[in-house]
Amino acid sequence: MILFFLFLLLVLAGAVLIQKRLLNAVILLGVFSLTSSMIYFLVGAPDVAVTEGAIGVAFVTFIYVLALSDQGKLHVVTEEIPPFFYQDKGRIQGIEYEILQQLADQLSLDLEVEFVKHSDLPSQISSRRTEIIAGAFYKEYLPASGLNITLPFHQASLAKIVDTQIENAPIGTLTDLDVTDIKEIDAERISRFNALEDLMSAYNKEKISGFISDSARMSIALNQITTQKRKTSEISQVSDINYTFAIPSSEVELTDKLNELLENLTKTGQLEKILDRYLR
Amino acid sequence: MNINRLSLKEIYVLAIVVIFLLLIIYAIFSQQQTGLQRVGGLYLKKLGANPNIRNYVYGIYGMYRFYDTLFELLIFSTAVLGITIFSDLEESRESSSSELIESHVVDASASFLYPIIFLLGLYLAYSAHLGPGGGFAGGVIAGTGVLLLAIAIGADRIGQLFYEQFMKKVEYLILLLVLAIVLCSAVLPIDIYTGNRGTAVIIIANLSMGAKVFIGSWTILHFFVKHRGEI
Repeated sequence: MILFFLFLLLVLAGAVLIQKRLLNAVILLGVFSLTSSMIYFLVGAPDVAVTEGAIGVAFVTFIYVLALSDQGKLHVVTEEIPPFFYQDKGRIQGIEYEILQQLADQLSLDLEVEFVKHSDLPSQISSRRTEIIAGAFYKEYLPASGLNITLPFHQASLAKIVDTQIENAPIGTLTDLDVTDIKEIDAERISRFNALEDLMSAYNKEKISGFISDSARMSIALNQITTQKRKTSEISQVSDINYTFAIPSSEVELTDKLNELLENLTKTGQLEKILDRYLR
Repeated sequence: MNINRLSLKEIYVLAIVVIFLLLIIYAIFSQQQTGLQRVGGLYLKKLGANPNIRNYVYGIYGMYRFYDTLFELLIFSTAVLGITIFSDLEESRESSSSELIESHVVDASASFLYPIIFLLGLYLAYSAHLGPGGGFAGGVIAGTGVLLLAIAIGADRIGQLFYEQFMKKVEYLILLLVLAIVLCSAVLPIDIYTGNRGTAVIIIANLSMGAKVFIGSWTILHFFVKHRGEI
């Protein structure tokens, strides 16, 4: 009997070593402790068996699980921007979600998605937990230092919508949008807003003559424009942009892995299929 | 098998497996009495004279190897202190209760099992001199009972029950009490482990150690939850 448990210990130790998911390894370590506890009992050391059972099976397993609760996850911070990252009937979906799910599977991690508002993004960048920023992100959207930009996965444009009936009112944008390279906009006549809803509300109330945004956010905004305003609104393209992911610069390895995945998806045509499915 | 192709990790694993196998073979076929068994024999002879202690394992570490237990306790206290200090340096989660996953199965089983586990821990600490158990094991088992409850209702709510600063003070007091018992047994000319008085001293020492380890386990658990999020 003891011999059986001793060999079981070896098998379990081997199984722990070959586990890719740390959580599985921790659970197997718990089983390892339980087997050790059984051996101690069989060799006439019930005191040690009780202690090993309590500490090895329950306490240490729990501490490991707590310690891994952050480690085993790929923490993504995103705005809810359909069709890139959104929730439908409680299920998370979107182009970026599918790409990042593939990355998480590759790294044997669980994808943990946190939806935030635009105004909360800067504070999330400095948070220790944030690993990837998504949600139709482009270089000019949040020109914060300390971010690595990945390879682009979709080309889009920055567009301007203007109410032709309003004159001498400022143009609106979201807080951090970098407009220095856009020649046709006078930087002094720009009004900044913390959220897309505020921007739309100001446009509908004619506090601004128009606004600039990327195509994904523009299509959300267009749904919120009043019917009256639609008749007098004109849309024009300002410049090209590329949707990418942003990763805190400390996460060099993660940036490389995501770039590698994006390259592979492009080469194999999988990226095109994902984009077709959502954008068609 | 080409040895040059093995990585350092694989060599370690291989070495551990080989040594372990050799030990198993040695343990099975060796008939020789080990040094440990000879020393154990001496302790057993002496312990036979003490009617208070029926558990010889406890007798050995309680009466002749108490410094082992004391240093284990000090190592545990240092570990708890280390976790407390380093956790304070990390940013803490403002509220972890929102992250708690609700499960009726866990709730129901925790409310049923928690008192049983806690009582078992108490019993093992109380009766260590009579049967298998001990203050350390009893304390950890009681700690896992609280852990189960923490999984069900959230560590924050239990944190309100076991007020942190008060528990810290109790923990230090218990450490002092255990040290005082050790000092008494070493300094006093009489044997404090014999007679009814002896039984009382043994029980107090065991329960104190159980309480110390229980508070320590809870402190570790609570600090981890506070800084890493709910279970």
